[in-house]
Amino acid sequence: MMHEAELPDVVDAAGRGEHWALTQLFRAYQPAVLRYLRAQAAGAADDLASEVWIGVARGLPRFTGDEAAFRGWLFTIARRRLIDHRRRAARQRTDVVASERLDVAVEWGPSGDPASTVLERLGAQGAVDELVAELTPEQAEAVLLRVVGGLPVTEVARIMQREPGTVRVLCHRALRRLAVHLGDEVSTT
Amino acid sequence: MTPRSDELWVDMTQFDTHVADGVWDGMAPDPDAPGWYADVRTLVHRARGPAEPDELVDEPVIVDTMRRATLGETLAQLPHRPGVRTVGRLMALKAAAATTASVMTMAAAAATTGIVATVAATVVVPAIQERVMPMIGHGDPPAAEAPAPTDTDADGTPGAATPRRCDPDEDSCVPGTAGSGAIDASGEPSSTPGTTTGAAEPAPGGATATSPSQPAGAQEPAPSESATTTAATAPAETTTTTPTTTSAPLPDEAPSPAASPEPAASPGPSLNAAPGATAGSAPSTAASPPSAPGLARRPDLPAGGTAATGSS
Repeated sequence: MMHEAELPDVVDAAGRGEHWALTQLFRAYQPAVLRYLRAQAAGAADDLASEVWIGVARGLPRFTGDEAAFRGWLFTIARRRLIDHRRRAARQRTDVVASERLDVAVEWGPSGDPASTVLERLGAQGAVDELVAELTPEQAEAVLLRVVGGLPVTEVARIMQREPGTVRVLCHRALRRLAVHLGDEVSTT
Repeated sequence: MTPRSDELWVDMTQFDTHVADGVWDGMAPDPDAPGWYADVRTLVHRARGPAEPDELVDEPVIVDTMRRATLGETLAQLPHRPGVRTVGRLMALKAAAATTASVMTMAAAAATTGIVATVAATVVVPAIQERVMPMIGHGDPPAAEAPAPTDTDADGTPGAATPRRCDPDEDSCVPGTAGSGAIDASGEPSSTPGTTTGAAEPAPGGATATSPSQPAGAQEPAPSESATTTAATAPAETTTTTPTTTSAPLPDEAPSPAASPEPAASPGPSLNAAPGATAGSAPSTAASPPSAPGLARRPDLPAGGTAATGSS
């Protein structure tokens, strides 16, 4: 993420095509965008991220707002690209699975390490995947925007075109599922 | 019981937004948080961790693409501009309008000149008669039906093919002659159908006047069909093309003019003799409408009358 104070200047320079500003924006937000996309469309995440940044570059000259607004705008574009991708994928009937995911699955199979050790070994993307592994698509999206995107509930609700209360309920149910998944002691009744 | 307390803590996050926000921000504000929350916090922190090398691999390419996109350079991936879309839509609309106009013009011209009727008479009807009708009537009945009208029309004796064609002619001729019954009175063989019909009905008359020169032979069959098939839609046009078109209105008129029987007899044979080949096509479809005039003839025509009734 980028500091609130420096973002307007960076965005302004990036809108003029300044290479340094574009690089700074990319380095600050690409990890979050990529993790968000990889958690939901692992096979196409890199391509989708490229499309997201092209969309950002086209809209930069017209963007006005603070850092939170920029993050919200960025993840709005990412979500739209993701929806487009899902529509295309639904027509193609093909699921692309990244090779990294297959390797991870083998490495963390049922006979793997204890949970704590596994969590310690997780990379950033592994942690994201673990967070949303047991969640429904809507819960996963709310949690991803909330955690990976660092967005407040109101912004998540705007991006998902839902009510803030709905987003809170989604996050609450996600926490319940996580409790069952991680703790194995909390009943969900 | 820890599970129960955990449940309470989870439920609390639903009502205390401050606690809920703290959970998903990776900060546990509540010391009563269950043990598994530590794992959640670990995951949240790692999910928000710094960039990893593989996540910035594409930086040079993407940043360069962004720079070009920002400067407005053409990119293959960039969507079309709104202005281009508008122009494209206008062009598509104009093309569609031009195509529609041309198609309608062609259709009107074809209908006016009788091309459609001719094609239908020379191609479609023979094909139906030779292939479809036998299949429907098990082959035998159609043959039996076909000769009957032919007998009435021409000599009644020979091959089934020619007589079949004659039927439509006769039908056309008969009704035509019904109109042309007067024709027979006025003029004789050659001018028969066209002119008389023209006299009988104003609109077609002018057109028919041209047709009589060629007439009876090849073109008659076509109009007969056109009359049967498309009479309702465009009677005027069909009538203009050939005398046979006069037959189109005929079915409607056939019953009314009682004078028809006589002329029918006279023009019938002449038409049959010359055009027989082409005329044959109509009968199948024309059989029903011509039946009325056929009934009028029956008294006049000896063998043919019976045959016609049989066909009808």
